[in-house]
Amino acid sequence: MLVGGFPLPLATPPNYHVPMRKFASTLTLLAAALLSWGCGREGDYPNRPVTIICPWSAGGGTDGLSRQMGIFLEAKLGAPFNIINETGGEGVTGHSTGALATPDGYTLTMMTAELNMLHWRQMTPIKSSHFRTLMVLNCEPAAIIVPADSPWKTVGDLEKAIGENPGKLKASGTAKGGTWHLAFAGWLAKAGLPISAVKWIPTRGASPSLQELMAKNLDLVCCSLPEAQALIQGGNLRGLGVMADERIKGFDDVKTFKEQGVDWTLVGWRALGVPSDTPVEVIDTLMKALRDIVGSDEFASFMKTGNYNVSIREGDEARETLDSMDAEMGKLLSMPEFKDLEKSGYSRNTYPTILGCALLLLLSSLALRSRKQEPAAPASSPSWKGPAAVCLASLGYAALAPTAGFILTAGLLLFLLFLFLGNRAVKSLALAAAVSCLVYLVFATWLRVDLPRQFIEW
Amino acid sequence: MTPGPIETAFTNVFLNLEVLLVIFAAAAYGIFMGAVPGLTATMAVALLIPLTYFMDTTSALAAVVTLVASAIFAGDIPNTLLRIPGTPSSAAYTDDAYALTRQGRHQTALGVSLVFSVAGGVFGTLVLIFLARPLASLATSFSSFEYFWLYLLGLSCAALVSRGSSLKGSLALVIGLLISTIGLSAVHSEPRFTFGVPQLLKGIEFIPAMIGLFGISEVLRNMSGAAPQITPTPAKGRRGAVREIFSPALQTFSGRFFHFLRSSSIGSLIGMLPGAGADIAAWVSKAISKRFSSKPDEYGKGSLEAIADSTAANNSALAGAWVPALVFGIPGDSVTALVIGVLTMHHVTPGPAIFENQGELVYSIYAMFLAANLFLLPLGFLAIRAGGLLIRIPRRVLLPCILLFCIVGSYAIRNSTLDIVVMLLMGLLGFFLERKKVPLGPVVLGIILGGPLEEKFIQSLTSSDGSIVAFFSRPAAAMLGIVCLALWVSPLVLRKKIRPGETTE
Repeated sequence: MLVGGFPLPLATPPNYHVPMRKFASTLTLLAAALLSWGCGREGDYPNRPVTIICPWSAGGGTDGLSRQMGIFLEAKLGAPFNIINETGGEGVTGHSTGALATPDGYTLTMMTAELNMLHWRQMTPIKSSHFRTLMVLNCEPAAIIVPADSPWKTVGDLEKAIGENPGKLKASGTAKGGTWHLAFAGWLAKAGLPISAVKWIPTRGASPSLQELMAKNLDLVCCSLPEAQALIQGGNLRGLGVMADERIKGFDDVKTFKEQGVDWTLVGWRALGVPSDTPVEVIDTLMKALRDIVGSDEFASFMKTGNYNVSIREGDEARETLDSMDAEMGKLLSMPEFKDLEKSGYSRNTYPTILGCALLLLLSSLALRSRKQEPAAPASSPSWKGPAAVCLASLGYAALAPTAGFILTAGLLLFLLFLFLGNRAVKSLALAAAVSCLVYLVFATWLRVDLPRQFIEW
Repeated sequence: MTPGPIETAFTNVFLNLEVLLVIFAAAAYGIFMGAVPGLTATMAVALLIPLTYFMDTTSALAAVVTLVASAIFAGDIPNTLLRIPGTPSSAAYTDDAYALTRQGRHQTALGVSLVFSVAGGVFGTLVLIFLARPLASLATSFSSFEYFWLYLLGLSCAALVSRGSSLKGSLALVIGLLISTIGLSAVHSEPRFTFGVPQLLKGIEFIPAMIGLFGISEVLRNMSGAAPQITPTPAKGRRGAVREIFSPALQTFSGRFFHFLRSSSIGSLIGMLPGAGADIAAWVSKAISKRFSSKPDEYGKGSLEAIADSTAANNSALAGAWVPALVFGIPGDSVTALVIGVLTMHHVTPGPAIFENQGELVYSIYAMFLAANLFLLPLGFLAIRAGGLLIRIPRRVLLPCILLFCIVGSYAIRNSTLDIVVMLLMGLLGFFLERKKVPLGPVVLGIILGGPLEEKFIQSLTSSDGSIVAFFSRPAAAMLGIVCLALWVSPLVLRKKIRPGETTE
């Protein structure tokens, strides 16, 4: 077991009486012993940690699926799969990072339907063609969710309420222009209501929106049903209608919009992708693993427990799904009302401007105060050689490590600094070698930090 | 609440050798991960997830619970010995803890940390056992307005209680907030202050910033010869160490029992709000502690009171984060988000019904928190003793090693070389600010909370059509807002009246 197998450096009994040189040679021996143990990692993909980028915040539906796929892929392929939540910019950050990553198969992206809209809104040049879509895993229809004690029983009730109080009701579910916002706005447009008839509060996703809905600061949330599962089953919230062709398994009492006489569907999707230039062998490995995974009982049972609507598509079928969605989004987003929506709201400069004013105010009052007081006693002037050495060492490491590998660069950095601080050359060399090997072993081998690799495979 | 499930739960945890072994191993692992700056509890839990897949539900949860509880204490070890906070919530008392180390009293400082961490953790658990459900509904009554004020309150506390004048504390805070505006913001999608560097779109990660501000600036100070020497106390035998570590801690504890209750209650309450957490709890608790202290001048200069009250608060906050996750499936941080994943994998669905359907499981989570805290006492003691070795390593050997650890820690968080440069720049900033006697704690909190603060601010403004009145129209928001404003106005008024001639330094 990984945890039990840790020799814990912190738990060793302290021994204060070992002289420094003996200590150093013990370290070297230890490092050499561990070095030989750490050898023998083969070169096939994947042989180091793989990252799955999730463009949305921790705790949402996309996050849950990403984490679970990470666990499955890890079990299948052996290498660790780490999830990174690259949130922000309505999905721009995560999708751009994923598309622009080195196409070596070590960065996967859990793409979401936003990818089909961001480029229509000129927020990023990135679109689905920048990715090689491995597999669409799940399709999630949008739904309207209201508090359990809300007066509206049907979609028609809500439509009437919006028509009677234009601009009064508040809704959320994602950032402005996100999938759930488009789903909602598309329905408004279909019903002949202006998009501005409901105020959309930009949030980071379903989780914070549901929190706001519970706190009675919103009137409704538009997101997928599974994202609100705990609260719907707990009797706090209620599904008003789902924008799909059929009712969703596990939420059998939530009627579709069609059943309520509104012809409107909008389905978000989630798919795993890699940058488009990824080598074929890597894609083959991943596809084989993914096909095994989606065929397994564990996958089926996870999707059922998590109430994810399974919808597996790969190859041309996956591309068609994404392309048809892209066209539909293009139609919606080129409506003039949406263009106006882009311009409304608070500018990106509002908050920094307030902060900038505060900074000026503080600096000027500090300047005033210091003029009133007598000048402080001059601090002892520091030597600038030491700090300069630290700067050079850090920058040197940043520049050298990616090509020369961790152990060489770290060893050199330590050796030079040890010498600079007046240690003897032999001792410096031994210590530098021992410490850099130990650090590499602990971080790269045990803790799976992806430190720059060596010339020699280790 | 019937005694049945509670008894079964406690038997399952305390009388099960496998679970106890898992807790022991996870505590040791957690201490190590927490003590190395740059390795976070989230990372530790994420590494553990594939293992929990093969464990039964109790062992899996025990591992996660213990890991989180021990990592946050362990963050105090580098915080005290090297002035590098292992976790952001330790940054509230970095100055106090490191000042004690300079006096050769690091064992005392860490002893207080350990005892109050354990006590705070136990208190937080007890609060949950008895008050989880009523408190959960409180947590969901928080809207963007309340969050805005809460974040502002946490930030204000940081600015006003730090060492030095509150004017300089505020300056530090604004610098931190400005740093947080770099990158794409959550509410807008246009880049700000990125100077065309694509990696900056993600913004400044707070871990490299924190390592730089505290750790690198201290390395720079030492290398420039401006830092005072640390005077190590002579080594004592094992029995002497037990006395040195625990006796001042227990004295502080018995003398400050009511202060402890207050700090832990604050921690439990703030910890329960999704997205607030241990960092704010530590700062707010320190501010209140200073306000009621008989020795407020010592705060920031080696005050055991400050360490005790902040660390009790951040540890009691931990258990709180599980309430909204279990009851509403709304995770407060990435660790609880991972926990929801583990639960789902074991066919447990979070929700209000979890107490009825899975009562035994909920109670065994509480039992695990208790067990984890009990294991923390002896293991933490060993870690403090081992950490003491660091102080004895000659500086000409230690400093380069610290630099390497800082570099690796900054890099590890998202495998980015740019973060090493960020770390260095923050180190230079920290070095410069320290020379101008500007505190560094508020800069860190500003970087962490800057994004969420802006998000809640813009959300609130959007939902109120730009009206400031709306910020006070909900009762809870009005209360938090008034506390927050009073915090800023009162020192200005009081200082003018009471001591007009005195300088603030």
